Amino acid sequence: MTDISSSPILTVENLSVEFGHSRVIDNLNFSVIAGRTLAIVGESGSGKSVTSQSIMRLAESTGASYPSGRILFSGEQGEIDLLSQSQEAMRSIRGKDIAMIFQEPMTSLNPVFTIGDQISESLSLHKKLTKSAALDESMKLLKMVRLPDAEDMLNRYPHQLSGGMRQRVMIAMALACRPKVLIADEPTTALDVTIQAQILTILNDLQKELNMAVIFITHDMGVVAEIADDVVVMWKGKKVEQGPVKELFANPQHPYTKALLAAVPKLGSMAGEPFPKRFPITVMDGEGTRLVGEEKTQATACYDKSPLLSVRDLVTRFDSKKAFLDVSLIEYMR
Amino acid sequence: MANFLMKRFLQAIFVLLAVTLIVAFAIRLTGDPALMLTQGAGSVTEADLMMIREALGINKPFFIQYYEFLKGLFVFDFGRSFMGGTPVADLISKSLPATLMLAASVMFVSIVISIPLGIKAAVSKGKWADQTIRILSLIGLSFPNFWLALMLVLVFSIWLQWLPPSGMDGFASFLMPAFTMAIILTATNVRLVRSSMLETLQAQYIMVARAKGLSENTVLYKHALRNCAIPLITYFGLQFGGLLGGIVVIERVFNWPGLGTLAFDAVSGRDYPVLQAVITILSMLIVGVNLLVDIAYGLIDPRIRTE
Ligand SMILES: Nc1ncnc2c1ncn2[C@@H]1O[C@H](COP(=O)(O)OP(=O)(O)OP(=O)(O)O)[C@@H](O)[C@H]1O
Ligand SMILES: [Mg+2]
Repeated sequence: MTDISSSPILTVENLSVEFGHSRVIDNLNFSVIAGRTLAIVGESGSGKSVTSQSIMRLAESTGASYPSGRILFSGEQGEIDLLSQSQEAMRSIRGKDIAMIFQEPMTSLNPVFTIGDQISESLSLHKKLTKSAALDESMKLLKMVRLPDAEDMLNRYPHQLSGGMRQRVMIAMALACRPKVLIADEPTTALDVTIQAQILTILNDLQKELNMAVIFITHDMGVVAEIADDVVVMWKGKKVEQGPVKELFANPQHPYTKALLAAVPKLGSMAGEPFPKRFPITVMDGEGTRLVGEEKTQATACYDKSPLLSVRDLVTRFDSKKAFLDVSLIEYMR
Repeated sequence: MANFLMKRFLQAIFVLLAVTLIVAFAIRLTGDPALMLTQGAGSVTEADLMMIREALGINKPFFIQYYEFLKGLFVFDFGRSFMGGTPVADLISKSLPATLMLAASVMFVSIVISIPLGIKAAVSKGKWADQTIRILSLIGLSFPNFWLALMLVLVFSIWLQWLPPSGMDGFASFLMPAFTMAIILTATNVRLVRSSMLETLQAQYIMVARAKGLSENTVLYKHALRNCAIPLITYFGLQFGGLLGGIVVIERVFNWPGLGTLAFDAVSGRDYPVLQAVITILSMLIVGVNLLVDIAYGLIDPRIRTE
């Protein structure tokens, strides 16, 4: 952990965001320090993506306006308010000083350009690298996010990559110009747990290496516990709770925070269970919480009958060299 | 991709065979050219008519005539015109460039205008620029072709005397016929570009491109436009076919020395070989352009290329 007394690199002050007349962010305040990770958690629709797109000043292109607030960024020119910058000025900050990883890896890459083109684009733009130097650098970035066959990867198109690979490409793209602030908007929500763990490790390592401030958006408290230093909890466009991660976990105040923490599965709670088991879930009900569902074991599979679907020795090959899959699987269903 | 193109190529050949067969058959239903040629020639006996038919080669069975036509096609020999006996191939090689140049300039003008206007309308959706472009294209759409042509001639040739009213003679002579046809195409194309652009701009990768700090022009003209290119090119390809049909009327109005004028004269003279040749050439052009469109798909979209 870096020096606590170091001043924040990005501060959001009294930020409000409106779409037409509906206010989706109300008077939001938080800040991040270089080298540290701030997690923003909140349920779907609470305004996490709008907040991150507002920092990038991208929310305007979808019709947002900012009736109040400041977003202070300490860059090379000292402290500037991003909300009062022109779009022209923002273009030299976006992708260079502040970069973003988006929620949906499957649709974040442009389907008609190669991976190499898409990564080298910001390098040519901000670092003024030549085409071939930018491609070289792109290859290094792909290695950095631990994609195999980085050289081959440069000439591939997004549709030839899996979701996890695409998200790693997105990370490489976001980190291309070594940004001071990285905003990761639910970078792992769409991915399975093993890939999720890999991506989190990669992000964590790169953060240390580059001393980046990271704003990590999620609604998975398990992920928060793993990576965050501080947490901001959002609820319907407002900040309802904030604190260092340990304090928040030890002593959650807001009912929504409690609900989120209750949703994290407890390690070992399934031990010795032969069948999948349901647990009641805590949901928000007005200003308080409520339990929904009951604890029950789901023993629905029927092992005496013949399988409904069985797959044996399935081989799937793709032209693109190493993708090779050999599955032997029998699935029992009722 | 090669497989796909081969399939398309064979389809194209089949289409051409079908079209020429139908045309050859239908033309012969329109009446007897021998009667046409002898009109007003006083007393004509059945023997005279027979002689003319033999000279023209139209007394042979239909399939022999069709076979000879196909055979000629491979060496660009379409026989001789019934009117004056000029080789049809000569007539075609004079008129084809005129029509092609006109059609190409119409497509070019229309595409070059409609893409920036359509994009502008899409990015300023609902604002005044979008409204203005919408109204302009509505006005453009509501002009009938031939009426617009006549109005242009009236204003620019007769009143102002700036532009030649007819014929093909240098750049100035292209302006009115090209503009007449381009205006309607442009009006539809602007709306098409606008709607496919609006859809593409919703995509996540557009926001990603903006998040890199790229300029608005790069985002729109590189990242977005390339993604709407498939529907646009498909439509432009189909439109080119329609354009070749519409060009016949406009060539007539401006007395443009192209295939349209040639076909028009051939119809009124029941000049089978000329008409058959013109229609064959036109369908080859249309089929050819659609083949090019299929090739373009693969160049634009890597997902199609690897199929
Ligand atoms: N372009 C837009 N126009 C109008 N309202 C919008 C727009 N974008 C977002 N909103 C509204 O803003 C609110 C916050 O949306 P946001 O996408 O930030 O949620 P989120 O916290 O990121 O949710 P999720 O976890 O599902 O991604 C929602 O109520 C949404 O309806
Ligand atoms: Mg979101």
